[in-house]
Amino acid sequence: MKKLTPILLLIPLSIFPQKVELFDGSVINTDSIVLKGNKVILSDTILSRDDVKSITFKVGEVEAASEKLPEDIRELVESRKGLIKRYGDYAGVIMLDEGHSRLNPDGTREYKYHFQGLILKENRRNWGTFSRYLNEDMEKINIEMARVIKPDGRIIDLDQSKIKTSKPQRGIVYFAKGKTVSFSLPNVEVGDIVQYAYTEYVFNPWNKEIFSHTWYFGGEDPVLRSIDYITIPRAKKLNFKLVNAENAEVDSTITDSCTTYTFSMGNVIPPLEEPMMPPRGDLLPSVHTSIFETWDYIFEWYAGFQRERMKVTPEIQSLVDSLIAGSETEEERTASLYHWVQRNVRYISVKGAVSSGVSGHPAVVTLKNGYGDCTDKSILFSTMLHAAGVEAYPVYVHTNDGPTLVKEIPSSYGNHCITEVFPKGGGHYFLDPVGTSNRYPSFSRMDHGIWAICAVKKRIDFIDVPPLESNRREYTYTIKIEDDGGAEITFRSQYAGDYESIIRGYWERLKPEEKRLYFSQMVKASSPNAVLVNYSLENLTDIFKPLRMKIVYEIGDFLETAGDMFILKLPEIGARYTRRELGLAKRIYPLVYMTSEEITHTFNIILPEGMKVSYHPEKINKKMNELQYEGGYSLDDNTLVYADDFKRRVRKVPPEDYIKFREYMGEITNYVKKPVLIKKVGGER
Amino acid sequence: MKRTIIVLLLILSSCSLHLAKRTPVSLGDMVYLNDGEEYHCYVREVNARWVVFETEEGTKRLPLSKVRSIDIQKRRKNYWWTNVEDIDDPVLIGALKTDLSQFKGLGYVNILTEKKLIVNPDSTYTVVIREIRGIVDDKGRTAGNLSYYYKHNNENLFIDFARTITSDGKVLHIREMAIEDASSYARFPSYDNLHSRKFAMREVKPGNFLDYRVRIEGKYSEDLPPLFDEILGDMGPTLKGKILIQYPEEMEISVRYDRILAPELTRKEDNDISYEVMSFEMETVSPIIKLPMKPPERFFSPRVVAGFKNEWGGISDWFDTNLKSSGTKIEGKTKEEIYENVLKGIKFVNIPSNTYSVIPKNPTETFNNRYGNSLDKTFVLYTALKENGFKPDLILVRSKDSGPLAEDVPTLSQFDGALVRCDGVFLDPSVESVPFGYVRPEYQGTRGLSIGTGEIVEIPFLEPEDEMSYTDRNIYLSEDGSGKVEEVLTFTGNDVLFFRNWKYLREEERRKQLESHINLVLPNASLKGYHIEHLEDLNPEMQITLDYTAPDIATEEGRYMLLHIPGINYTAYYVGVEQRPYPVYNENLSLNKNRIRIYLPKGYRVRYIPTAINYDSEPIKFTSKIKKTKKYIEYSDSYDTRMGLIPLENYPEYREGIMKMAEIPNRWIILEK
Repeated sequence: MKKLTPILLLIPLSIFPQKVELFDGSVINTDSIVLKGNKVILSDTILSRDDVKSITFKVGEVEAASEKLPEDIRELVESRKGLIKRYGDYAGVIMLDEGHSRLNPDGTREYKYHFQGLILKENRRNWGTFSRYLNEDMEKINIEMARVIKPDGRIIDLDQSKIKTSKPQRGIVYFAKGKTVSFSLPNVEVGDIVQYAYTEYVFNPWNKEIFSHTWYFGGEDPVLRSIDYITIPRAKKLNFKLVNAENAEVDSTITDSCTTYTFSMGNVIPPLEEPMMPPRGDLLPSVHTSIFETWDYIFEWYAGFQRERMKVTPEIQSLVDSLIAGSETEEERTASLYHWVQRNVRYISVKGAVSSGVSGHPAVVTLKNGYGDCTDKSILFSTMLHAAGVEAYPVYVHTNDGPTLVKEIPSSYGNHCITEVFPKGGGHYFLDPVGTSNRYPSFSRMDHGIWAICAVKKRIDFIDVPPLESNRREYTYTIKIEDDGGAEITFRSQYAGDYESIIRGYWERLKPEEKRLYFSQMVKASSPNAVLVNYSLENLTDIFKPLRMKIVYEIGDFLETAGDMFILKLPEIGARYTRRELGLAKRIYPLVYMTSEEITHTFNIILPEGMKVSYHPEKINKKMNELQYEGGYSLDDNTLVYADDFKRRVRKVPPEDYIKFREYMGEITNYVKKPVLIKKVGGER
Repeated sequence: MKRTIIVLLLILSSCSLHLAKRTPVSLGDMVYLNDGEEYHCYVREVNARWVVFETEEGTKRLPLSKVRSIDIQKRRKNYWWTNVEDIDDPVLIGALKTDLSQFKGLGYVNILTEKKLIVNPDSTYTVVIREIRGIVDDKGRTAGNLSYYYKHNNENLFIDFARTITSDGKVLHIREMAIEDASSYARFPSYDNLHSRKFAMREVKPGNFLDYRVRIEGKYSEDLPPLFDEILGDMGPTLKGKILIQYPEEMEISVRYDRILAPELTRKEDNDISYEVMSFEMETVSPIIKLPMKPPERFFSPRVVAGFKNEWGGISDWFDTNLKSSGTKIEGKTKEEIYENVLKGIKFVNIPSNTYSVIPKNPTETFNNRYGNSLDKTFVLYTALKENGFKPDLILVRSKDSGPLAEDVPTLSQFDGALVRCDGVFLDPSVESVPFGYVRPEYQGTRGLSIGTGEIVEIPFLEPEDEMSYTDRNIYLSEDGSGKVEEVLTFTGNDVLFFRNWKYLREEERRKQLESHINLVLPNASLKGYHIEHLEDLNPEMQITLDYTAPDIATEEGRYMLLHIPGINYTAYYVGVEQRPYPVYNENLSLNKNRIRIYLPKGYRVRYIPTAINYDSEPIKFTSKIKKTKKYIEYSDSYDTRMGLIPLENYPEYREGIMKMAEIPNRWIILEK
């Protein structure tokens, strides 16, 4: 028995197929794995540890099956003509968009999907290319059917050997474990119907208790029929909310073991594209579902990962102590750490399991790597703040280019992570350490006007758009005009808020020679005869201090001569108020900006002795809920002064206010471009 | 016996403990649990029941049933180095002495860049790239985000090492989780070959050094003959650059080099095989400067190209005999009909042929798939034309982005696409809107291989008239400065490819695009009507007719009305610098014309109009005219770009011309009541 014992210990109890991936790219499936020292012993081979890249204990596969679906192909083919007539202006029409999610009592789950689409224009031939993300240690995919149905009723099935699993290309800063399953259907042409069906079986979900789901009834193409089935164990209840889906049909069927809910809509027309429109997810009809009625479970799950990662180690404490030495207030300490994390942890996103997916890596790991993504940086920043005696936690958000949170439906929401700070004096505010150049307390505009989920504090707060003065840009020009109409122009600018970080980040990235080139180009854009004299960027690399830019340039023919007149036009200001997003005469959807905006200009134009202003435009004043503008000229001896202040307090301009908003912006743009007429003293006009 | 064994075991275990202490444990492994948690650790043991691993906080032992998967950190070369004292590589030791402060503002510096091609007698080969970088300031923080391409079907890529040496003397090795291999064209499995291996190095901060080496091992394949095409220099300065080519004595290699000194030639013996070694070295390569209209790097960086010796004639013969040209029946009586059927019948996928195979697929296969890259789609056209009695020639081409063709290195791998030449006309059946006889700008002004003649041929730039945009605008000014506008926009060439994509938009979406366009011309304009000619067909010309109104075209100032010439936006931004480090790069020649007639409002006369500007030089020609009558003012101009690559010696005259043109938007027209 004693001799047998060691052998018995080597016999695995696992009955699932296991996979060993080697560094040379090869893969070995095995029934048993033993790793000890430098050896990895499989069921029929022994490897060196140095050759082994990964071991997966349960593996999902990609399977293909030919399933005969009980439907009449002729019916499908015959419906084409009617659809072409009705939807001919669209690139394609989705005839069926059907999904069925099933939660099993043991927490595993399945998702079946069936797609049928009629291709009307060439740019929808890409429907013949299928691609689906797959985590092999969590799920498997069965491609049940994929085919092309020709106008004459011929069917061309997918050659199943063409289904491939590979790592998808992502940006250079992204690393993750998942793969994609893909195939291209052959012979796809305009006029064809593409059809496919697959099932994903999640045999190893990250959390067996969490089950939530969002279904959009439409997309970029019209949808004839969109159906979402959700089946859950009878003992559970589905919490759901319909958004923009007043016409959706809702039904449910109950059996002994389960309840199936059905949500469906027909004839869904996609929104028309407009510049700077709300996120598509906020416009499309949708249903949001969850088996939770409250956020408690999800809060606790996320918070568990976060707490585990937010440990103040001696290294972290020592670093924090060195960084905050000399800081007198809590704000100063927070600012020091905020700036440090931005500048010293570069953006690299490495995702492994769901814990790193939602909560990043432990603070000390991010510190040692010197890189991390939004979750990592927030974890580290929050941990460092704790070490400095400041309460703060990572919070989950969806950036403002994405759909708004549906608070009533607890779910794994968000595409980004920032930090919520709770100062000792009360209240709370937000910071986003993912950037590199945000001077405290500014943070990225993509986080303005959205909801933030704080798992540790179990609260959901709204991130307001910062006050106008936090988003202000100030431009000052001193223009000394010479007798010959030439001028020396001194430009100064100062910024606040996220705009400052954009400008700082832009100039910091340039080499000294590039800076000179780009400043030369900028002044040349103002006038082809402009010559750069000098420039400076004050505090460019000191993120604690405001960035100030100064450019001095000369323009030989600043005053335009038109016969016996001199014409003066304010440089650059017109371009600042010309807005490409105002091209449409009217809008269906709100015009959505990322944040508020304030711009001020001051021009001090010093005329020489021999010149006088003969005409300048009257003052202008525009005011409505969404914008306010005051601008005008004044004369002070021989100095002509122009000053203005533009304010846009809101992020969104509703369609009913858009026409007036556009009109006012047009008037402002035209006003600032109006010339000033100048005459020589004693001369005629 | 038992006691002895126990003592021996104790001695052995104490030895192994001692060894364990000397060999540092790197917590680079990852253990992923079923509940979503994960650990950075060192995996000590896996057996039937347990997984045992060490973390920062100590040893953990978990039941196997809780573990989802494990990633093992690879022990790369010199993995045991933990601090500077451990380093025994003299090259690295020397590099670490570099004074980085002299490179302030430049982000990072390449202290050493070394690129080697080693060819073996069995025609396998190895490419080795090593770089040692010093991080100078925060601009250099992305210098540790790296990616290299290789061809998965017959090559493999290895990261031999990637380590950071910090300013306080620590050596940090790359983490396995920060390495990823990916297929560049996973969405098109029938073209899947090109892969990238990307990796992110640790602690890329000012004062630190990065040292990495990547190795690609490949075997010769007729589908993709090996090509070594390397440059020196990137966004950081390079202090020392080396390119080395080593090959067996009896083998013949073709080499071409530009902007680098001639190589040193030596011999080397290795395992009784004699090798020739060609070494190129360069001290100090300036960093690449970001600049508008900069040519691709292979136009100006030091470059070495090498391949197996061959002749273009021989290659084209071989190519011809290996073509699987059992064609497919494409209907069409004329060349134009056949062209259109191929163009529209097969979806274009923009995958360079030299990432997959230099031999086109059987045309039946491409036709059945209904998608193909430039080579495959063009080959279908070629065979279809032949089968219908025409005499086409297949021309293999290389896009300008990849740099000029190295004609001294005959190899098919230099080409990434194909054209057909038939009766003197080049055909580019790629994107579904390319008109008959039009060649995309990336191939204009390049040199390619004629399979028919075995010679290198010129693919000329299209004439400027074939890359034209013409605006014909009539403005009817009112007394309040607003106006009604009738406009016709005419395009040929590349602009046609852009606007013809609008056929995929809905009517409403097209209207919105045009509304945005007219507002760029005249703010607050309102579109009244439009018509687009030749949107759906393949006519080389497209026309858009617009009717719109706009307020504030002119400004009233007392009894005067002032306006600029509406819609003229020339700018001198791109010639801001007096001297450029690189030539000016235009993808194609072009002709832009405007004719703008402004009808005067009732009761007004012309007080002042600006003078015409004319300029004629080798790189550009600009002519403008402005005339006035009692009823209207008419402005017309013509701007002709005559050179694709404008050399540095021509830049001053180019600049002067652009600056003159850029005066026009600032010029005023003054009307008087």
